[in-house]
Amino acid sequence: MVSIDELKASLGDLAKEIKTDKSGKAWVFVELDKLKKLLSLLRIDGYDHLSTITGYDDGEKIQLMYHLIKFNDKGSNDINVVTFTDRENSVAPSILDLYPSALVYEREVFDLLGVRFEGHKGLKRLLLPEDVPEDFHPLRKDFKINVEG
Amino acid sequence: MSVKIPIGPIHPMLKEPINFTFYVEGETIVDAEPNIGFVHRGIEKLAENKTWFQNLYLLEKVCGICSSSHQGCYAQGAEKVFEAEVPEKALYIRTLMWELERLHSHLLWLGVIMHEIGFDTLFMYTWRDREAVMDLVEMISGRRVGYSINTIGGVRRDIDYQTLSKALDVASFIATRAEVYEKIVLRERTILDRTDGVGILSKADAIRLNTVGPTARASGVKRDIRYNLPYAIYDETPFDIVIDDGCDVLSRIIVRIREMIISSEIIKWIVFNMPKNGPIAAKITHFTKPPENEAASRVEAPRGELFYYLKSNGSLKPERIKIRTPTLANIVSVIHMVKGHYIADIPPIVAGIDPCISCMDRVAIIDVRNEKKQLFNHDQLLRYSIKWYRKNYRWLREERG
Amino acid sequence: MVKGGEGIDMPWGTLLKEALKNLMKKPVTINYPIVDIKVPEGYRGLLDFNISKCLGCGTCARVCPTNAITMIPSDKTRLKKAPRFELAKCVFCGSCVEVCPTKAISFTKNYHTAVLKKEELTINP
Repeated sequence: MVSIDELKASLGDLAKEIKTDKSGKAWVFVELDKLKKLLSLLRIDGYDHLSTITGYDDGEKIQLMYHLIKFNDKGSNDINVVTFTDRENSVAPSILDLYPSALVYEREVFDLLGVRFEGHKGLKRLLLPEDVPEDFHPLRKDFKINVEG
Repeated sequence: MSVKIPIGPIHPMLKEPINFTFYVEGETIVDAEPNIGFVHRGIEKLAENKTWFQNLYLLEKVCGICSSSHQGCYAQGAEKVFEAEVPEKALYIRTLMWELERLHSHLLWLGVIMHEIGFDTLFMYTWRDREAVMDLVEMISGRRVGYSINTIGGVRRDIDYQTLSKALDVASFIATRAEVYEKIVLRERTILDRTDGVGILSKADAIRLNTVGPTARASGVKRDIRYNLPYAIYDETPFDIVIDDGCDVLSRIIVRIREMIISSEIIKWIVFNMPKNGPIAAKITHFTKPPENEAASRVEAPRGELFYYLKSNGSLKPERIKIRTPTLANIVSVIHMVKGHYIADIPPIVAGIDPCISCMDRVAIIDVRNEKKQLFNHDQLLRYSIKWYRKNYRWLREERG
Repeated sequence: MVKGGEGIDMPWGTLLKEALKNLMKKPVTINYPIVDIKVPEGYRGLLDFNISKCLGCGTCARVCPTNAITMIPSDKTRLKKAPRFELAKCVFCGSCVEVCPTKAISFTKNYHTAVLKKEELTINP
């Protein structure tokens, strides 16, 4: 496991806050404009596998989480990077040039939550049909569904 | 000028629909575009309206073949959220079901890819041998598919000596059959013609495109969640990672057959080392409220790395559940792999990543030279590729060496 | 690029041996519904409900994932309510069997769930 002090030393003052949970995994909080610089530092350090990008709407802001793994035989480690963006006019920088697999993950977050990724060529819906209205984003908190059974 | 062949997504067989559009020049593919979402059911939104325990039975139905992997990954993440201690016997039973699931999933896949090539004999043999595993799973859990053995805090059913000794018989039987299949696959000239040198994904590309599962291990990449980030009891079992350097469809077949033999060894170890007595679940009921917490959990499903993210807000219903299945991670690699190959190579390449949203029901092929359109459905594409190979196999053998 | 093996198919190789072995065996398919399939003990088939043990507490209706159980007024139980089971919605998970305090619900080995009308699968108290 990588300790907080080692992470703080390598990331410097780019990160706003670093926390660890009970199983020893690190959660790194960062501002939106410093996100790409932090991710490129982590990529140079060896975190080259992006598991997925999670989007979560808590009513006031939209939280974006990047889950990364560094594969190094028995010394592998995983880390989570968290950033925030607004609910109205949500934009975020695209990381397609660092991680080519973000092609499908960013399309999914755009489809279900409405976050536009700047620099992603060909950003269109992934899962929902093409003929739904423009502002139809089901995973937002104000989108109510009718559950029976 | 290009020929466009749209192939529609509906086919009333067991497989799920997916739509691809291929841009071709003559017979060679220059570009591809996937179009997914026909089986999108809104499970992540629905899971926010059901309680933690009701979600166990919703999430095992995300996939029919890897249902225990989904339920086990969710239970593992929920145990981190609830901060529960899982007893040791429960971890042994949970791992036993995971390895049995890997056996029957790889046997099913072997049959399916042989059917895509046109070699139906092996399809019949593997699906007959799979019945031994399905009968054992029915004895342990009560049903053949959708065997909900996991709960939050452990497992729901105990296992007795008679069932354990049957598990030993099944593991030895499958290991013997897997060695027979490996010999057949490496010597049959028809299989080698269709799979050797087809669908190349180099090691550097596999790492760059974040490929997961046996598709990556067949390109020499040493990545397996059971080996790198061990969970449950995998750091104690005699686990050996299987890699191969071939980078083509034949390597993917060999890697999966060898993984079946490793799984049989793990099952035998579990049977001999299981604790005799002990509790099988932690003391959590359907009406226990968790603390406010969040957790991420990863499991090596038969197709690759399965990832879950869970968040709780202190109430009986979860706040957010996020699922990332391994087939979504491999779609980017498939687009890269088909470029430069012939139309007749599409079925083995796409089936080679073991898609759980499998099979293009109808495929669209667009010829960029003269704007001609051609529509194929699944059976027509298989018959076309078998006929094309029968006509052209001699010069293909010389070209591929 | 060919790994292992000789690479040339021999007509008297492994596959022919397999084919000859299978020629002498009978087919593996079972002729259902003429022949009945035997299921092991502990199989999770259709539900069986014993109303004389029921208290009417309603816990089974609260835990069912598909809302297949609804409580209706009845005189046969102590708390004046009894469950109605719509087995066409059941997924055979076993939550109701686990939480019932008097063990009034149990699984049978009956796996024939094909009917002509959905009402045939409903258990009314």
